[in-house]
Amino acid sequence: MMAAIAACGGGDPPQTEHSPSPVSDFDLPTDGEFSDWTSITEPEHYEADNLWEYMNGQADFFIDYGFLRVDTAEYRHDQTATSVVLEVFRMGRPQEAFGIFAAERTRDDRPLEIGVDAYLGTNVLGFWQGQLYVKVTSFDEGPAVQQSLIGFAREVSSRIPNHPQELEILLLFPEEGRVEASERFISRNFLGQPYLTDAYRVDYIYDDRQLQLFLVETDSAEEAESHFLRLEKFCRGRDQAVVTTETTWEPPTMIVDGPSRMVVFQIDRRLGGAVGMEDLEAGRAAAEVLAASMRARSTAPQL
Amino acid sequence: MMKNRGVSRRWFIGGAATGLVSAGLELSGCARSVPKEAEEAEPTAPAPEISYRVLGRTGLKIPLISFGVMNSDNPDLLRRAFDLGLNHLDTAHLYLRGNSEQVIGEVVEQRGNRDSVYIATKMRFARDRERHVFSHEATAREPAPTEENLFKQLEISLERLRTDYIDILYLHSCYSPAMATYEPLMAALVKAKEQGKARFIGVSTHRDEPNVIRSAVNAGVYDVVLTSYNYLQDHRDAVGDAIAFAASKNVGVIAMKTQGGKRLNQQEGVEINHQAALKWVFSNPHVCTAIPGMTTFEQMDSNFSVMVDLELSEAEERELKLASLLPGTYFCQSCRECMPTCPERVEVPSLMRAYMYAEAYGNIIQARETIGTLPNDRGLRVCADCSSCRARCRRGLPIADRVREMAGARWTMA
Repeated sequence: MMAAIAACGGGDPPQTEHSPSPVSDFDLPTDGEFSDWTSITEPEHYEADNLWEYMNGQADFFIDYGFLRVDTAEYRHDQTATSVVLEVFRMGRPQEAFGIFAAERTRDDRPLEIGVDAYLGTNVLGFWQGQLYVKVTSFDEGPAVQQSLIGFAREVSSRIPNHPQELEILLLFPEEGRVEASERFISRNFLGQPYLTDAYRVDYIYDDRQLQLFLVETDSAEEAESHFLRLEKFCRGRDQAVVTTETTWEPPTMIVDGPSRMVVFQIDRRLGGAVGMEDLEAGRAAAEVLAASMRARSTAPQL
Repeated sequence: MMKNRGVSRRWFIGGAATGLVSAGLELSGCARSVPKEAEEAEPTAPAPEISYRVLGRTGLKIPLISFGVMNSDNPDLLRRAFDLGLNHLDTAHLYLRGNSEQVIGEVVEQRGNRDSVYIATKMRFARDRERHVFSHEATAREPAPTEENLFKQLEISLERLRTDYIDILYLHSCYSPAMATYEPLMAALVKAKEQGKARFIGVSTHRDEPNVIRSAVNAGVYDVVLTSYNYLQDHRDAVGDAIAFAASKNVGVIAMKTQGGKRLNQQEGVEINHQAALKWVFSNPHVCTAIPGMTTFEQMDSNFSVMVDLELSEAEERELKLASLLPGTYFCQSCRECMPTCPERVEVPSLMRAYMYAEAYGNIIQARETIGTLPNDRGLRVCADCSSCRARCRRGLPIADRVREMAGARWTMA
């Protein structure tokens, strides 16, 4: 599933909302560019201020993920007459392209190796590469249609200049117990907190017990500590949560036992931890593995 | 997943709220408040208070604040909504390829509260975007508007939501009366209701709302309309009249887009007062509930607290009025009526859009890209060399000020 390694996390300073990032120069293919495919509609494009005309209630969600523009057109296969709609969503940053890709991936989809990562549904294929989230959809269904989607998507991927690059931060998540294709990037309001942005979350199953591990990026250790304290204050003030802060542990860890069980620690400019578990001990153990992985990575040579 | 769910005091409070609804306590009429028992309040949180209204002929008693569920990131927010007594969830079949419906289904199943939660979802069909009618040809994105396709979507939604009925099933995003009254889909919705797969049926609209609402009401089959409604709409009075018409026929009305999606000019230092905007919507007694999207606990608490005091204060009213009159909204409507007023024929709408990206969305990359697509003789460079801007906006956008600001901004020089 993972294609290659890139420098989008790790020890690099995080990209801020306003910092320029590499743009994936990609134009919708025109007739003759794709073997066996003919464009049958004029390309359309939408930007943030008219995206709602294209996708109604979903527009705000895409804009939250740094949506810049979508280009779309319909194509027909010359031999099979299968028609597909190509949608190329350009997002502000690669992690946002991954984020919207992951938010639309469902558990029924089949993972594929196209771009950095791809999903294949009954009649839709999505992949992300660079700042682009690409969707290819057909109204028809069936194995032959899926093969058409795969072929078309591979052609599109090969024309995107950016080499597929994985998000390095996802490598910090432990492999054991990891649920395939469950990685998410949550651009804002993680855990319902407005100050927690740029969060990564992965599902795990240990001995039939489910939980999620997460990492939140901040700009500095001071900012991470401030967020840790704000979260602690929030948890203490609500929902009859029992909050314990283990300052003697390394790293200092907050354990929240209440309606939402949570284990949270801070290492440098990142918060990490576990949520979504019934068994607090399992969450603590899993969080420790994550913390160990982060420490190991920080001492290892940079990829 | 949660221990002691039935006995925690806060959970008890939430349960009590939904219990009132399921017990059918007589709360008919508008804006009737049901204060919770004060002694149930926790010291750290004020006693929640819920105002319910009745959704027209459906008889459903729904809190003024409902939950528009698009974002599936955080199931805890849904749990929190239930704890607070919010019991009406609105989503759509196509949101995030069904992940929104999936999360609702999982949380409701975990809670075991399906009987006290009202779930609304929407079915969307292929449309001709120019002519504002349904298209008989399916597109890859949207199925053709047939009974078969409605039931196909409905079955998938039921499975995702882990239920065997939808409380309110909408025809999604009707652009025109012709779409709202498209016979094959109306018949299919009625059939879904007869089969018990939908308790009530309705239409949703955020274009030509007054006419769509009236035609949907006159069709005689719909129980609910879901409409855009906010204090910034130019045609808000016409929407209000149509809502009153719906109410007179006992059709329930639910409001969406209540914040108008606009932020006001930074120069004025004004941001929309979200609570006031909601109160403005609820000042129309025919609106049963609103479905704001909520992604933080703060937003949820803030929206929830509106129900404690529905009355718009004079200050709030003044604030909204001022905001609706201010010419300094960010949004260029792209009417292009400014174009003849600029002797240099600069692409003013594009410049105004770039300004919006930079100032309203904080999206410098997109702002630069927008400016970058303009030819040199139609772009910002021309404005920089112009000593007196004569371009005028009929809606009052301060074109000259914005152009001057952009010309001097660091991001345009990079």
